[in-house]
Order: sequence, then structure tokens, then C-alpha cells
Amino acid sequence: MTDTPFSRKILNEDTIIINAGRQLDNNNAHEMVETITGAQSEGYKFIILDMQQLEFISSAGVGSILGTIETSREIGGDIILCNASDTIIQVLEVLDLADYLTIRSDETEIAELCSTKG
Amino acid sequence: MQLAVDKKNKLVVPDDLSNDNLDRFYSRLNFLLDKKPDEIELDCSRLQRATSTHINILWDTRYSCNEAGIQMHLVSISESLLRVLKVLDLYGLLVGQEDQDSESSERRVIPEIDPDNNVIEIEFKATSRSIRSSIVKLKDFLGKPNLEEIFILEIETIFYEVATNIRLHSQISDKDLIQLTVTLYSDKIVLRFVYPGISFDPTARVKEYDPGALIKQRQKRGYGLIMINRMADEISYERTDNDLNELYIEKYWGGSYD
Repeated sequence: MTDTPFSRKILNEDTIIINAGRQLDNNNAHEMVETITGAQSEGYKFIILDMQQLEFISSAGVGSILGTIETSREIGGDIILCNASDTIIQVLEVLDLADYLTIRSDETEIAELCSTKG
Repeated sequence: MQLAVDKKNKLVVPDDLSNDNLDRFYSRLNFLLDKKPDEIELDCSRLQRATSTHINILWDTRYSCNEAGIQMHLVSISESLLRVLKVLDLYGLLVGQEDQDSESSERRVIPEIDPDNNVIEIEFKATSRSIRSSIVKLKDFLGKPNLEEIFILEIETIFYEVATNIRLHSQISDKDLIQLTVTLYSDKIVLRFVYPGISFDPTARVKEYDPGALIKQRQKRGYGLIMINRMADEISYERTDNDLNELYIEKYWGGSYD
């Protein structure tokens, strides 16, 4: 289930997109933590986690998001889960996380969200 | 084997009909009858092949419940038991009209299960590679009866989290083998894990789960047992006489997909 390192795409000085890949599990969750914290330390307030290809997320994968999101929120930013499939959202809902995470599918809405909070 | 009874007054019919197991079964049945619940569920999930003694047990239980004015429901009836009951003209008597109606309504959401292909046994090691290849086999097996995608994902997740937690907590080596039996029933799927190592009970009480607090605390670990407990409908664990760990996980077809 090991994925390649997570690719990044810079949108603007405040926002970066990280591709979550196909699997986010115990083998690569630590790399996701490093990718997110790396982006945060570089000053990006908004991290858009593109989940379009994501087919499986384990507890470690969930932990990689939950363990890093507060850092973004403390500086007025956020980690936004983007384009997650219904099944992945269902997994997050099983953990009651839909109310605690920012989940969006519309790019315009995401852009507005980032500019509003910024 | 310890017989499981949960808060819904469920009684599991033993497959192994040793004197001890029979004594325990009837002792527990009498205990339940004394409680005078509205209903008793007789879980037939362990019966792969029904002998005349098994049928007698079902009949005894039905009779005792009728005498006590308690409703009895058979659940998790395998296809082979179903055939036996119908051949013996006992289906209507043991299952009852009410259950036939509820079963037929439940069957509207039940996937197509091939009775000749409803069990898979997988033996794997507690390594990433072995867990990964086992998931491929599991998903291939689950793909055949047209299960909903989310259901398959949850079973996959349960398997993955159990396997990785066994690796983490049971202190077994990379050479030790974990046995998994997956069985599809008319109303549920059962995963049975048997594994060596020190006692690891995934059913142990999960601490109160507060996502908001955990986010504030930046907690990255510890979500696996929560996922297992939330995605499964029933979980039971025991340490066997020969120092193995045995874990049963059940998930009903209906669940949240009705």
C-alpha cells in the first residue's frame, strides 16, 4: 500500500495543494505528517488535501490529518479536504469527524473559503 | 468455548456438541428464560452443518420459549441449515411467520450470497506485505456477492486495523501466522481471527472519544480501535485454552444502509 511521496502544488503565498494519493495508511502516514508540517513551517496557512484519488484511509492516515490541523487553525488557516469520495467521507463520518473537518468538493467554494479566512 | 450472550438476550448455538457445551447452553437458556425477556435471539452462525442434535436444540429452545411466553428468533441462519429446516418442514415452526416476514423484508437489502462460496480462509503474517496481499484476496471474495462499495471498504478497514493492531500489541514475530475465516450469512458477515502472542483484546473499553479534544491535543495515534469498534456491529474476544487469541467480528448487512 505504500505510495510515492505526496506531490505538492503551490496556489498562492498562503495556499498549497497536497495530493493524498491512492492510499493513506500506516506505511505512509508519517510521510503525510512530514509533508503537512513542512508546508506549515514554510508559512502556508491553507493546505488543501486533494483526495480525488484516495481509495483507502487507515487510522494512521486519519491521525496524520487530525494531528496537524490545529497548527493551521491556530494561525487562522485550515486543512481542507477536497474531492473526497462518498466512501471516504463515510469513513470520516463513522468517526464523527465530518463536524470537525472542513470537507469541500467545489473549487470555487474552496477558493472563497481560503480568501474569507485569510 | 464460552457462549456469547449480549444485551439483546442472544444465545449462540454451539457447533461443538460436547457435554460441557450442551450443559452451558441449557444452563444459559434457563437463565434467560428466568429473566423473562420479550424475546430471545438464537444465533445459528456457528452451525455450518446441522445434525439432528442441533435441530433438537433448536426445537427444545423453541418449545421452552413458547411455554414461557417468550418470542424466539433464529438469526444468522446459514444456507445449509435453511435447507435442512425446509426439508424437515421445520422452517415455519422454528422460524415462525413473523420472522419469515421480517426475513423477507431484510432479504430485500441482502446481497446475493452463493451458498457454495460463502467462506474464505486466509492465513497471513503480521507484515505489511502479507496484510496487503490478504486484503486483495478479501476484496476479491467480497466483490462477488455485489456488496455495496462502502460496506466492502468498512470490512477492508476493519481487517486492516485488526491486523495492524495484532502486529502492534500481540508482540508476534514476522513469521507467526494469523488465521482469518470470513463467512457470509443471510444477515451478516463474520470475521474470525485466531492469532498467537500475548493476550490482546480489541474489545477492551475504548476511552471516551472526543474528536474536538483530540484535534486540540494534536493526537496522531490511537484511532484504530475506535474505527474497529464503530464499524463493527458485534465484537467478542477470548483467550483459548491453548493460549491463542480468538476474535469474532460481526457486521450486519442492514446497518446504516437501510
